Amino acid sequence: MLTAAPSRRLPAAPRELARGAAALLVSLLLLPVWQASGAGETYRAAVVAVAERIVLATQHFPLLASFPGLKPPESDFVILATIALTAVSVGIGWRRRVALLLMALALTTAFQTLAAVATIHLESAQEMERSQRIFVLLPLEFRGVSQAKMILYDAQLAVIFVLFLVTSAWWKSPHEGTTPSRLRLVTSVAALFVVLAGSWLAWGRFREADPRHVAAHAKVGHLFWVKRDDAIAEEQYRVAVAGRTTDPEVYFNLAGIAVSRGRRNEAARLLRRCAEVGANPVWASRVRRAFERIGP
Amino acid sequence: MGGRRFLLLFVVYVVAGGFLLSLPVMEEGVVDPWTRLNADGTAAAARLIGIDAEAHGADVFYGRGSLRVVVGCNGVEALLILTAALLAFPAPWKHRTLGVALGIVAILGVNLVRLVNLVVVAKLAPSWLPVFHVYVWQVLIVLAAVGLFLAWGTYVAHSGPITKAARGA
Repeated sequence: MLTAAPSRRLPAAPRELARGAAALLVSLLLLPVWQASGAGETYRAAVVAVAERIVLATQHFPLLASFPGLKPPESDFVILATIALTAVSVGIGWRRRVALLLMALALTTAFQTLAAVATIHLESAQEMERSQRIFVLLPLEFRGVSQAKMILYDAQLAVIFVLFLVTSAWWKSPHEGTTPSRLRLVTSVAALFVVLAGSWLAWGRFREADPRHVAAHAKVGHLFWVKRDDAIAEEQYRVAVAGRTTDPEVYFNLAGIAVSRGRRNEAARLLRRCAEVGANPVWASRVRRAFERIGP
Repeated sequence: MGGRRFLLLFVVYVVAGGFLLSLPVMEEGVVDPWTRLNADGTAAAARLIGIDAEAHGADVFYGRGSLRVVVGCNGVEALLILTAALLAFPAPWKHRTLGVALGIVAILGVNLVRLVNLVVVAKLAPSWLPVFHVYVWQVLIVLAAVGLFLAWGTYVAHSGPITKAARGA
């Protein structure tokens, strides 16, 4: 507890800075070992691999299959600093040090993985916009993901800052004898989870109602339609239809898929909607010919 | 006020501050001018030690090379973390305000030392630049923030008992 601070139990800043300098020295000594042993490369590759799996499992548009050219994060200095800091903090018991080290490493790795996930989303969104004119992220989403990436970087530096504080003598002694309230902790985590889940759901609804997002579903559907992947094209077209797309081609192509699967009534309904949305002679002609092919 | 409350407030302030600083209006009004100030200061300081340097926007040109001061090496993160800690700590507001004001000056100073050092390393031993840029200075700037926080905390502790109002702040 920080009540120690006002009661003049703060350690001298120079002593703590010497600990910081020792930690920096140790982290620099660890660096050649970290690099030469391949541990650094393995760590970065693992972070990227996990990030890729997360993106593949959670991507909203089924556009990404691999991530060539993704640069691994250059934040492994946080890992080295964390290890070094706990190594030189000899003023506290080794059990507490190991527990803090594991917690810091877990947090840092989680932050770096999430930052890599954000990077993949941002880079793939830019690439899709450049090459296909498909806006897979709304402008607000793009900014939000960029902000999250920056905050995740700040959070990694904050891990070093907090680890330094909690491994100081200042923090340790007043903490003894205190027991965290488990009920309060569980309640807080549950409340946070509910708020986050609710926000996520609300955002999902807001996003699916945005015409630009609906247009993205339509364009992604077209991509898979051209590639003759009817299953994914149908899935994307259905989302676009649910969002009341004004793209007549969506209804027309979806009608084609429905016909190929023997759902003639549905195809007829979609073609009528196509004619309504298209509302021009070209679409009227295409719809008429399609009706002729379907038959009565 | 306990350590957990301090940590909770610290996290809230870091996230909120990071969010605010990444807003377009803050980027244009605060972060970009701060970054240009760093670049200008670096060029001026480099000239003081005999390196012919010039700043254009966020770029620092020296000899045949150049460095660009970008987010991540402009000291904003260290300042954000320090400010979050100062605000989360139970101290009177006048001490917090003083801490933030001195923190801005101190972090700018430390960051200028960092950038001038990087210019020197880039000029004299370019192969060492990644080590200094990432593994030395990223850690050192956070340690500087810790040092400033502890120095400020020591000052607060020696400037009289914490009032009830400040403790509850």
